[in-house]
Amino acid sequence: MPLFLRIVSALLIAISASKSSFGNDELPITTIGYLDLIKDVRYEDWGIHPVDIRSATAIVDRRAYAGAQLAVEELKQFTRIAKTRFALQREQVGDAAEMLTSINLLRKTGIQFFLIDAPDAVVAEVAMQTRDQDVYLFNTTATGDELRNEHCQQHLFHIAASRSMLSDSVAQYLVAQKWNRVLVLRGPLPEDIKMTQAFQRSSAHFGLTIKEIRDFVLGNDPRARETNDLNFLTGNANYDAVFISDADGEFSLGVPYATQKPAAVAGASGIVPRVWHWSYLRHGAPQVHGRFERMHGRRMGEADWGAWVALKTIGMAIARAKTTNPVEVAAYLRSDKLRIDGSKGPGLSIRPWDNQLRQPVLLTTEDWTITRAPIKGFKHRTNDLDTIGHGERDTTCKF
Amino acid sequence: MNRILLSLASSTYIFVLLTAPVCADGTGHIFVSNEMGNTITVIDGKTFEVIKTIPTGERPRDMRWHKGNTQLLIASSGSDRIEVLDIAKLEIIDFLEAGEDPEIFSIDPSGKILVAANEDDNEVTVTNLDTGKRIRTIEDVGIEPEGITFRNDGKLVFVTSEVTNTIIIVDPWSGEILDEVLVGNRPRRGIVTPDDREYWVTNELGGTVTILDAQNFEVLGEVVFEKRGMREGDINPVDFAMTKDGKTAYITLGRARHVAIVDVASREVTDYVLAGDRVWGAALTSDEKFLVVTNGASDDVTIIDTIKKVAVNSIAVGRTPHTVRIDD
Repeated sequence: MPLFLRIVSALLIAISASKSSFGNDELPITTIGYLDLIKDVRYEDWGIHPVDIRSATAIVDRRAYAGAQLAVEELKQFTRIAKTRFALQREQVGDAAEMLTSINLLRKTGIQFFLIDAPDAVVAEVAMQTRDQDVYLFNTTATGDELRNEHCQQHLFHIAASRSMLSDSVAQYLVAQKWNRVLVLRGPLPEDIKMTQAFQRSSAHFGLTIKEIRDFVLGNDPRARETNDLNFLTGNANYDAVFISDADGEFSLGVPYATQKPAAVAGASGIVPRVWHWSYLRHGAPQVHGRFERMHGRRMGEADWGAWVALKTIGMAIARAKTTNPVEVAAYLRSDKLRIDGSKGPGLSIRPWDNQLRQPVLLTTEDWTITRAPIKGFKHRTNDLDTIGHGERDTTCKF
Repeated sequence: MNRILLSLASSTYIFVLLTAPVCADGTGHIFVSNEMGNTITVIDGKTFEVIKTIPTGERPRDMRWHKGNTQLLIASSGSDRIEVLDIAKLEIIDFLEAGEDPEIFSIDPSGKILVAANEDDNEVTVTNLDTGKRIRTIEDVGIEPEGITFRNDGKLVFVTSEVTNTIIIVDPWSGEILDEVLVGNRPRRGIVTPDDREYWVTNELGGTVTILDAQNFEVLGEVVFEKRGMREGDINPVDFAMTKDGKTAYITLGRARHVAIVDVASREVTDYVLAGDRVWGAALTSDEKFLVVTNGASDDVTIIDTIKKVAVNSIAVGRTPHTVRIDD
């Protein structure tokens, strides 16, 4: 075909393509801010090892931004219905103060929805400092219970599951398996203390008995063997299961199959509660895994799922509420009409008392999803998803 | 009716249109596709005994009658093709193209083209049924397209997009996208009433059925399912069967383990009948006295007496039964 004819046919294809999209190119653009930290310990590789030993496969970048990229690609298919196009603006910053500066700058360009991928303290600070502004924040990875309770903010939505949701999921499973006596191993980090507190709350709630809480440290010092040797840590006690709080993650890798009693290990290793895992194969999850892996060449992780669902939630709320006005969209998010398909079963919605996304939690090994919490048989008077995490009665959040 | 006569005559459009829905003299066999078993289970419609298990390609899912019930077309998703099962021989005799990973498909009333949803590629493939070759691929049909339903006049198909929660109305003859309508959450399968007035679609996650005007695509109403002891999240409507007079719809409710019987005119549920776990596929016998449903999570099918409105039998089939079709 002569060159000019090819150009003409290419032009025709372009015209017919835009025709079939109902003239999408003229639609307004809703841009969503994406904020994360240049240095985030949760994404750091372990420096002393030549490879990251926590993963079955070599990983270059585990940042949740990959999930956001998938969502924005998918939101292109929402344009006809939502009557808007979607775009993402990412800013990587050093700390909470810089994040606030970014939010203020982006707000001036018209951006009002922000995804935040940062630890608890940064999310809490940014949310507190922006509480009088007309912006809406979506926490995609921070699990802190304080963020949903005493530090809660009306303009802050939690897509990540809380520590209590994760520990309640484990507790339900242990109860269902009749592994009622639990030995807790607690790491030295503040996150480990908080995870242990969450598990204590879960145990009291679901009727598990914590036989003892033992503190561990990562090391080989024979003088400190009571705290670094698993034979000492798991000996001289009667238990059916071990719960381990270990945000760092290295110590806990060696705990399953290494306890003195033949006990199940749960928490940071063994039976791990996760909001998403590549081995979940029901409810359309395989299709999501496929789209993500084709786009990024790696498995889709929990953080990716959080960013992906956050954007889907915003997009679907705009489509269903038939407006891009953030106040109306936020009201729709909190309404009982919202149902988001997170590809893990039931429709997801927002708890109005703390802005937490209701969702099932997967109980996983490294390569399989054992089951999904809420565990069968745990019933709630209105919504079984509310059997995990802080409910309307025990929340301390006041907006 | 003689099967040779039937296959001879079925090549004409009018014959198929008039007789296919009422051809009452088939083998009586019940065909069930086993998604994880890679087989079709053939059940005797009178004794309810399994008479043959036919190996297929990978992941057999939707099935449709073709050539006046002499052939059953099977979407073999994992093998990226439609397989042609000869009903007299009970053997796979041919393959058709249908793009990658075909899941649900539909055949136009004149029997000329087949339209299949390619869930993973977010496409719809149109195949010429005479040559078995792909005619065109239609993109821009949402994300995870699934349900494909022809309007009875054959002019257009309703495509459900599970992720965008929309119905995309497509002219398969030209490939043009005509309209898009927002419905409930995770729309799965559709059915058009015999008078071509209404298009019903199940919203698996929303737990409802949305009803569209099949001519102008306006939302007309909704069917809501409520039963004591059933939680919202457990009601996952998926598939339909409808009586030929268009008065009664049977809708499978997934994890709720029930089939809803719905009065089409009033859009009210008149009864719930217990079936197996994750009840999905549904088909009526031609006398409409029995409804057969597949139970995806209990690896069996349930036979429901539509007059007594009760399950009368259940038959173990292969792993994860998906779709059921009855030749009678």
